[in-house]
Amino acid sequence: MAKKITGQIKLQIPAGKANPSPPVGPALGQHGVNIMEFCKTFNARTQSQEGMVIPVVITVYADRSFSFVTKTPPASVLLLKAAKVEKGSKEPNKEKVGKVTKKQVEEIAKLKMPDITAGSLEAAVKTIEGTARSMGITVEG
Amino acid sequence: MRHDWIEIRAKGPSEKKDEAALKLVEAGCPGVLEEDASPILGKLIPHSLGHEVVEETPSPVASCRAYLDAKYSPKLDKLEKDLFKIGWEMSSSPYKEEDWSLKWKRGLRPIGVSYGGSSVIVKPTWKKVKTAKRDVIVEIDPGMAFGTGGHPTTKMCLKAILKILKENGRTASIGLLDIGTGTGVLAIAAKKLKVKKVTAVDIDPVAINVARANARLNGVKISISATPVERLKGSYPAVASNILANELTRLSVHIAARVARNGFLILSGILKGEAEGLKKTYASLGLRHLNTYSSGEWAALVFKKAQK
Repeated sequence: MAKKITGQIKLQIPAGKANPSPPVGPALGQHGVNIMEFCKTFNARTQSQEGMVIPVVITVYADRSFSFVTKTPPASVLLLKAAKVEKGSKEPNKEKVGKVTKKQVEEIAKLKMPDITAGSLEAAVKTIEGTARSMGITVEG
Repeated sequence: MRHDWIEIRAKGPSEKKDEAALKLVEAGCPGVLEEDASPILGKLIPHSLGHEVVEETPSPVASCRAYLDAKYSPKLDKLEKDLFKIGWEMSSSPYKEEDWSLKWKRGLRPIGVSYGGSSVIVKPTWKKVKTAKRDVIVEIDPGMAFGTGGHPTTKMCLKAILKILKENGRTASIGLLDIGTGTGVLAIAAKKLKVKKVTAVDIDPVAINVARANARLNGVKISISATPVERLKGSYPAVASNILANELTRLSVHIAARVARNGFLILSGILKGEAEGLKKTYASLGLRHLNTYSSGEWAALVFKKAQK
């Protein structure tokens, strides 16, 4: 069926760890959304990405039913984690803040494939490498 | 156990929003609520098909809300400094937790639809209702499939089914096809109204699972599958489809083909302004318009197929 949207909620939640505490409980509860069903499904869908913060957009319909889409974490956040650094460089051409391996870049590219407009894994790897360069993170190998 | 929280309101440059969210989570917040104004409220979109359009409003400043367990309050100073480093600022205030795991159910009431002395009552599982002997009870909880009985398009379909069965019980109760079943509410109601063979289809796998669970919950046997309407075979004395007008138009040839001679077709999910176009489309396929239901901005159409 297709129905009228009465609410849209954007959250960022650690993968596999949604629970009825704030902000999930109040944000969904105010729209009359079945909180436990959301939490269970979100956790099931994201359990393989433990340790990541997952952006999620929940759409609420006129009869209180809902659907949601999860996004992959931003490439910059994934690169910072992989390089084990807190922030990118202010002058990426001059100052390098960390390193990642080619394999790590490939893993990030695979994860980001659904959300970036890359025709192939190779193209996705290039996009991620570009992001790394712009942050002052060197790709080795 | 209920405990105390600190509500954190933070704002700063949009391009650092994800970094800010990460810092809030790393400080111990169980999640972050983004506070962008959504431009798509009130729009009609297909439900649960995984291709919802999320329209972003590019704004240079983003704001977020997050909650920190009060026991972590000593971490607030460091968090504020960390956010400041990426150009974000924050304020905090105490927040009392409420038990939202139960409170979301507030205001969800049973829905009753009646015609000619028969009633269908659709209710959430946790609500108790007083019923008459002839009332049919359908239990549906809101979740990830559409159709909890509360929407005008569903109510109008239920009314149309009741009327058709009341006035043409002998022929119409042989079989009903529900195209785009969602939670299965119409199919379950039809089965409970003694329709012998009920078939329900939906192209959304979430809906299929939910409809099957709801059929079990209501103790009825219905054939539920993900078969696209284009591939369905056979004909039914009653066909109901509560989807969207553009889909009802696109699939009109296939939907009309499933209606048996002398059979009935109920179309819903139609905005009032779209009804005339659909009447013409289905008239050209041999379906005579019998009556129109309307509620708010919605319309539902009932047709009958000619004998020959």
